[in-house]
Amino acid sequence: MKRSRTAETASPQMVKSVLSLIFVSAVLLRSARVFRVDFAPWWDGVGWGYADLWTSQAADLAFNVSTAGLDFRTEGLVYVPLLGIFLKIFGFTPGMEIWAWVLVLISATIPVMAAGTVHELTGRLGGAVLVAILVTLDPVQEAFGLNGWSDSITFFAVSLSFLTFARAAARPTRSRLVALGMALGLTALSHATWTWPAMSWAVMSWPLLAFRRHWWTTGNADHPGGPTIRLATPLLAFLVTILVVNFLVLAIAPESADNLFPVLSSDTNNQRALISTLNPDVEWDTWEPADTVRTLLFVVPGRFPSLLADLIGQQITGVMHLSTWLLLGMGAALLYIASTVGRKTVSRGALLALPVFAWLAWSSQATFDATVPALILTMALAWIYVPQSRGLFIAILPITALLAIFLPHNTHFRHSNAILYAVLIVFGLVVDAAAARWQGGRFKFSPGRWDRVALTLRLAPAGLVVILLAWAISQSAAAYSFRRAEDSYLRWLGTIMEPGDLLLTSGNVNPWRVQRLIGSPVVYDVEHGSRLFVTGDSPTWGPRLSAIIGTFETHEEFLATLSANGRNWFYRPGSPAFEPLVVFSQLGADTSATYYSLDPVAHFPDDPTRPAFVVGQPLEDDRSPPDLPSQTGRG
Amino acid sequence: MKPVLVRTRAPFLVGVGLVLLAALVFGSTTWQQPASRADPVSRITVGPFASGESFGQQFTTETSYFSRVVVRVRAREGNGSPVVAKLNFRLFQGGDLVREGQASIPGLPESSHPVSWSFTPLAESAGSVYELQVVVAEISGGKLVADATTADALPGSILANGIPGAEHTDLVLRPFRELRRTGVLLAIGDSVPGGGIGVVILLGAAGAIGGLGFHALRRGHGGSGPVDWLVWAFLGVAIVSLASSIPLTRFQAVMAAEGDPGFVLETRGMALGVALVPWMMFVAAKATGRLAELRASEPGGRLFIAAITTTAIGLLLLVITEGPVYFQWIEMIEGGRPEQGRIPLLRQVGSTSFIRVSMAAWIAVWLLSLGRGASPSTSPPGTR
Repeated sequence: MKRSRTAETASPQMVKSVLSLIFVSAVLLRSARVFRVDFAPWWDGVGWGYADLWTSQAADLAFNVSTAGLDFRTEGLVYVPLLGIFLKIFGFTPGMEIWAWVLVLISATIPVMAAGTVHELTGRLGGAVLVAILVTLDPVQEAFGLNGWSDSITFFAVSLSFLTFARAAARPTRSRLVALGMALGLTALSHATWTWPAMSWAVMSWPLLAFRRHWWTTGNADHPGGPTIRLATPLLAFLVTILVVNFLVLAIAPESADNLFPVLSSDTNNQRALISTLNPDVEWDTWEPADTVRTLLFVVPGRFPSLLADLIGQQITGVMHLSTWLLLGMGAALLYIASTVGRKTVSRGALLALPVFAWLAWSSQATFDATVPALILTMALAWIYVPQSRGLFIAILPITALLAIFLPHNTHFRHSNAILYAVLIVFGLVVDAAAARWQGGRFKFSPGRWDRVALTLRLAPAGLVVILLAWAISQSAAAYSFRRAEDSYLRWLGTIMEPGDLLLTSGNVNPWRVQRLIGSPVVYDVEHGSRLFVTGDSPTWGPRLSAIIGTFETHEEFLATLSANGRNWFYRPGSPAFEPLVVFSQLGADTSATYYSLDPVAHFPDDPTRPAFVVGQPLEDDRSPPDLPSQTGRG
Repeated sequence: MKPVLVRTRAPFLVGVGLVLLAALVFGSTTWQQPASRADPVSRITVGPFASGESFGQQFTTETSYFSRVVVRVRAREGNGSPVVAKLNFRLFQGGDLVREGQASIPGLPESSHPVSWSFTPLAESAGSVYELQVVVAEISGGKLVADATTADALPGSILANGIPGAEHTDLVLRPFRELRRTGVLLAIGDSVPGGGIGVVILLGAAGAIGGLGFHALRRGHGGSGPVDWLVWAFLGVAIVSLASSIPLTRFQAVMAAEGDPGFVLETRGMALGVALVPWMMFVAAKATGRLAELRASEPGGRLFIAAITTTAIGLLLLVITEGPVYFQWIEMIEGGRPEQGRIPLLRQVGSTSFIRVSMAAWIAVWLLSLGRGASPSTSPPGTR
């Protein structure tokens, strides 16, 4: 039986329309990033180049039937085969370019699933739209959803897990329970971080669904969900998914078969590094598995509040746009709910969590960042007054604990994004609950200004979607215009380059497209080791420039080799800086990063302020280029 | 109706307690604040200086009531016995001697040793240029050298026996101001229109208004004569006194604290908050027809209001709290962080304190409700 509609619930047509508009907006906003090549499967936005690993593995899988990429420890178990399929079907270069747009679609699905999750939990659209907007604008989702890291698939899988979890709680039919188990399986397989948290979620889904009357309040009392044993279906589906993939990997990727359950193996060096960081008594060389147990039992509990405070301050509240205002808004909504909730019983079970919240809020580390106790307080209030949030909190508890413990070692924003996602969903639930309560109360005043305010509130979600869409259209149009202007510049550049010349580029370009437009060889991303040498459509990832010209001792030698038959031009998209420079780094094992000047030799007829540059001389002052930032975000 | 002395006893005693506490906090307050942002770090030494020799340096103070200066010296060429010295300090402004004094060093080590000279505050010192001359009046057991820096942190250069050193070489010298009770009040008074009296009037008026507001919110069982008003106004003044004296200790090491936005907000904001909050609650309760309910509320209900109020204040302060220290950066975002919309006026501690207190209040509220089998609210059953 479907949930009964009230005056505040949206019609199915309206829900579909809103979700469609959110999807279109997200596609347009993500497209703008790809048009400008802020992020692409070959450009991570910084220059780490780590995605080259998965790209190479996918190409090997597609063209050489090499299963080396199907190693769980490299965290591309889902990403690599998916990319491999596209490379196989379309060929390497078109496959990579199409894959960039596939990632746009995958990434744009996530705000829709976030909205769907909130809508499923509340039956209304207001909070759902807010959450969708916040997820769309999440900078980490945007970057790592598009930049060729396998985390794009993990984001999708996590989002799908939340949606299927909400759907299973709303109406635990067999298909929904199976979908939940499979989504959790996909999450576990997509990234090593999630193996055990996803399994914990699958295990806990049984009691969470069985006792959902303690946290689920939206009109499904007539859906008891059948016998309790049936609610173990997600766990069963999860195990089947994991085991099927496990034995499939065993069968086709013998190099992964160093044990019977390769999908459960993780990098023990991570554990070794973590334990030797947390526990000064343990050293890297002498670490044993028992040290992990001892550290978890006797060291971690004392440090946990400060670890969690760092995780929240650095990676949750520190990543939200307008985080202090969001916390204020969420707090105001919760205070409104609390002051109007009436004599609602607070269960002893719900109160059990409060000492934990208090312990965390009063930890000394929380004084360094007021958003930490603020978030913990608002989550505690949500736990009490918005029961749907309890199911979500319990579901993300394992991954939160794991990431907090690993924070000193390698927890990165892309890992903790799942927690941020859950916090945003709770934000949506809270705002929605407050708005629904306000509307329910104020409709008693009639006719008058409160009705008009209530009507405005009801129209607010539609208004927000329209604003989002307008913003997305303007962004993508501007980006498309930028792309056309750059293409025009490159075509002109191709006309002034002579045979034997080379074009050196920055990382934020599509090297194959650039090569097609100029008709000369391209040395891609010279600022991060010249990651590709492109002479036409490549049959696979590569080759690196060093494979063509060999090794060299100095940058001068490198440039001399390149310019043996012509000049070295340089291209970076967008308007040139006041003092145009290029950094040569990681080109040789012993070469240090050096600034080189760029000399203008001609001017683009369509824009006389835009020169064409050739590489000049090394700068002979004290300036040295900054180091490439750490992949863990620690400066 | 209870007799006036009975019904005003509790607020009067609470007020006296708060005033005593405020007096204790205020009486123990000492502001020791830098008088200049320049913080030269020891890099080299200049000297050695024997008896009768001198060193000096020009510097600028940025705050009023400059009253202390610290230089760093160390022993050299010792003969094995402890190096004991007396230093004469002379402070000039525009060539005129404005302060003079002496400091003794009973046993000067060979490592960097701070020597502090305090003097009567110079009220008009903000933005003034001074010259310090340090004369080694007596020294035994060796000589001394003065710590210097090559970072050109101060105007001019170090003077050794009146001879200027290299342009970028400065004496390691830090000016401070050291104020207690009246001095603190004077410094704050100079920063506002009306001076110290204006500050006292503002705080007194805010407290009295707030106290009368609390009286208006009080359970409606009598008492609205002049004595009641006086006692409740006194209670409000006592609350404001304590609330305003706490920032005095918190900002004791902040340069020019009286002009610091956080200090201004915490002192005047606190006073205004005490003045306005009870009246806002009064007006809101009256507008929603809940004044009688509020006046008749039980301790659980009042605790609930305290939890709501402290949460609201904590979250409101969060918006005007400066950004925390980040050690992780999102490299693909310009500036490493998304725009968080902060108005950076306060430090973390204000918001954190309120939120922590509110956390405790909420837990007390929920535990109380558990005892009664119902959740906390001021709403009677079935209101919603």
